[in-house]
Amino acid sequence: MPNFDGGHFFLSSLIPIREGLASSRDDTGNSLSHIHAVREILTILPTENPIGDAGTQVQHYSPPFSRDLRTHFCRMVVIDDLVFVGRQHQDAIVSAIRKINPVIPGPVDHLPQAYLAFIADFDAPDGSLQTLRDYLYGLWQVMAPELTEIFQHCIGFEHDSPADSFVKQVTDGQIETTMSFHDYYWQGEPGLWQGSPPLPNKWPKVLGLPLTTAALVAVAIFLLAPTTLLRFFLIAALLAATILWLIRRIIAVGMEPFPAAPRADLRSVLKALYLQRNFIDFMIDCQGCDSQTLQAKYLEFVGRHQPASVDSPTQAPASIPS
Amino acid sequence: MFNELDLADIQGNILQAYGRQGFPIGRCVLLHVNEGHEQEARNLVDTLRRRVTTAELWPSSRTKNLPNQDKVTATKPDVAINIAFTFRGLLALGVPVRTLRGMPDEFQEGMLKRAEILRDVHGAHQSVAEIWDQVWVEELKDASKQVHVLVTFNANAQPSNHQSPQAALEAAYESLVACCGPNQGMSILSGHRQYPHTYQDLSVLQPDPTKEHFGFTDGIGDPVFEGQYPQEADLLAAVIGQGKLTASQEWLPLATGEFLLGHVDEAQETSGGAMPIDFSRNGTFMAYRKMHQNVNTFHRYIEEKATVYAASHGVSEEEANETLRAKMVGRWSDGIPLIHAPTYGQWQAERAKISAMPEATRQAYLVQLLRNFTYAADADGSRCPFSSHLRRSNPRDMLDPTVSPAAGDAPPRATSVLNNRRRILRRGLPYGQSGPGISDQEDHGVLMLVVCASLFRQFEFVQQQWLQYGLDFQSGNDTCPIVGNHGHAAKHVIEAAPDSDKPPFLCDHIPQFVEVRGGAYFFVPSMTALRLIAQGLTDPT
Repeated sequence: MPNFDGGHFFLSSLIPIREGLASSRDDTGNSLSHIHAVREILTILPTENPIGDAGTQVQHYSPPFSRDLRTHFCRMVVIDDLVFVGRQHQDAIVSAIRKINPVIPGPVDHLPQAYLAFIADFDAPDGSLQTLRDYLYGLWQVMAPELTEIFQHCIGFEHDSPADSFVKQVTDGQIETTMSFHDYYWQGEPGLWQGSPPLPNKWPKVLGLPLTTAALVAVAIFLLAPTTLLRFFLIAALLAATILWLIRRIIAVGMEPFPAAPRADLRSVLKALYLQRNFIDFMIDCQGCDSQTLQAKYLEFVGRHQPASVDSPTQAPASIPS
Repeated sequence: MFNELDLADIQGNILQAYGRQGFPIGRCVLLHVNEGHEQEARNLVDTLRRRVTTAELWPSSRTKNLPNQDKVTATKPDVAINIAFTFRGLLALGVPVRTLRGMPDEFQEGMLKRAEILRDVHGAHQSVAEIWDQVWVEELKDASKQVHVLVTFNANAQPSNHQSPQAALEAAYESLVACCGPNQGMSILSGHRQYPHTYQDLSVLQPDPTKEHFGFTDGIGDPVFEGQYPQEADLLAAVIGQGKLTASQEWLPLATGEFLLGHVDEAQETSGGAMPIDFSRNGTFMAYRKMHQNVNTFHRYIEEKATVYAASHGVSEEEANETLRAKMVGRWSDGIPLIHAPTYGQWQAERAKISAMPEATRQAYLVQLLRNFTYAADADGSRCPFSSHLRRSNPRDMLDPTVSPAAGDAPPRATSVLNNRRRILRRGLPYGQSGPGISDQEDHGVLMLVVCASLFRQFEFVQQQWLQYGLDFQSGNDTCPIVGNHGHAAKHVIEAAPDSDKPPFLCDHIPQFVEVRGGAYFFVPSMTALRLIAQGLTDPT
């Protein structure tokens, strides 16, 4: 289930944008298409918190997605249409035999309308629809004004029931994420050269049942089938069925999500970054200290930065302190 | 197959650095093509190209053992003269737009526009206009001061007619001055920081000519590529530690196209896109970087941190001082790499061993010691810190994601595959004087002339991603401790050996040691392209 892996939901949704002109006008007084309006709003959405640690930033200017402590990354982008990449290439001899006239233009594909692509990667317990809905309602709680501004230009937005319609727009437009990626799969030894993450051996699980069943059926065929010819056909059928079954099981095992890596949720990641930064300052401060001073300074460090407390003090989301 | 280059078509200083061929002093002159005087400017290029020094071989220690002495076709000039052009310079000289559109983006934009991504603006400064020498930034206000052409002069230490190198240099420079003026093809631009402001003076004639201003032996290693040496045997000797490293741990020369346009590069593509191909072929690009060194700040900082290091590691201040310098650079001050001698004690032992060697074997041993090393066996950075200048500027095999682990006596093995497209040739010389009683405000540093086929892929990548950022070296936002941009929290981590009882050491609040004081991107044409430019005959069709 590639929409969900390692404790993260990978959302991909395509929400159709309304056709025609928006009722609002742009800052020059010119009329504005819905596509243009969405682009304008997205351009000016803030993406980075100006100040480092939580509690110190000015909320008004905060990037809207940073108000939700589940979202790791997200992207909204307008997809107008397919880009035509030229005529389908065909071998000249094949074209001649099939009497394809190269002077006649080939077909040019289009999307039915423009789409807003909404791509996000957020902390989730599972990949269910209910989990996605919970996340979207949570987003609405913290960034309703921005979401209204954007999604009112998309098909299906209801000003009477904005939260419900927003959630429906995104869930209706959801497509399967087939290439999910995040950075917290494996905790290897620190070092420059890391190998691949250790994967459990799933072969017994994949092979066990199909091969046992196939063996039993094969024995039954040999015992019960009356003629050699029938045996041959039944064994061939069994072989084909077993191969198909194995392929399905391999795909099913491949779809199983990795377990969540420990402390890979956004709150823990922010805390880790915060601690890492402050621990470096602590190390510098302690260089050359005797053990008593070191212990005193460490207690002071723990007291001030509270490593066990995930939420405070910590680093503000969407900030890049140097 | 041994790739033989057309040496008479390639400008000098690309295949071999003049500094190593007995040209210890030089001058760089910047010119502007005067509007309305395009033809006269081309005439001047035509005059200059007759004086340009090429890569042809002249009698020297390098060529005396060549079996085919017919290849030694030149005499060593008293002053080597070379010429290069900015994008706007080529435009001003009438090179067709259809040719110029094939020039890469970074060359078209120029270094001034790309100063921000190179992180040349440091401290409280808002723009490079506040930092760079006037000659590079006046064009922001006055288009008639645009930098168009670079002419370099490098003087032979032993001129043929027994005059001094300085006199030969002055004479060559004056002959250019005589051809320039506001009503002529080109004007000499003024505004270099030092007197007389009309040229940048270069000289290795420091108290010790092998040392740069911070006191390190410089110019030890440089990439080696196919065709660079007249004899295959010389190439195969030079390639060790300087070429590319294969899976079988064999050093091979890099592809010519990494350093010369119109040749096949490491991606098996032909480098250079400006058409016609004759215009690109055997030419290359050069980044001019005037790098000022805050010598006193550097020494003061090291002394201050050495006190802390000496106390925390229980060593003498002398040992702490030398160790901190080495752990920042990646080599001890005499050039011995940390990979071979990671501790002060091992360095001293190596020095003693070298001085006890007979002269006959010492040189060959030194070359091997200084150049031939890899990082695969130092995966934790405890010998040579990840963030050291040496490791950042040429990571050799350390970025290879597939490492064969140590087997028996054989150390871990990796290849340089992720580094082969990021190599740069370093040409250029120090400038100015430093030492006791000379303040950081005086003009001294290194003029780096970085030569490569793609400024974007090679020079800019190394500068931005490796020297000014630390991700590939597991160093977060840390920049190079020597040449990096040092913000208020700049630091450098010196990793400790896992079996050591000492903690890692952190150098914190590193001040700005090196400041870029100007520069530009230049196209160094082949002699063919130079003729096309001079004659206005470039035909892109």
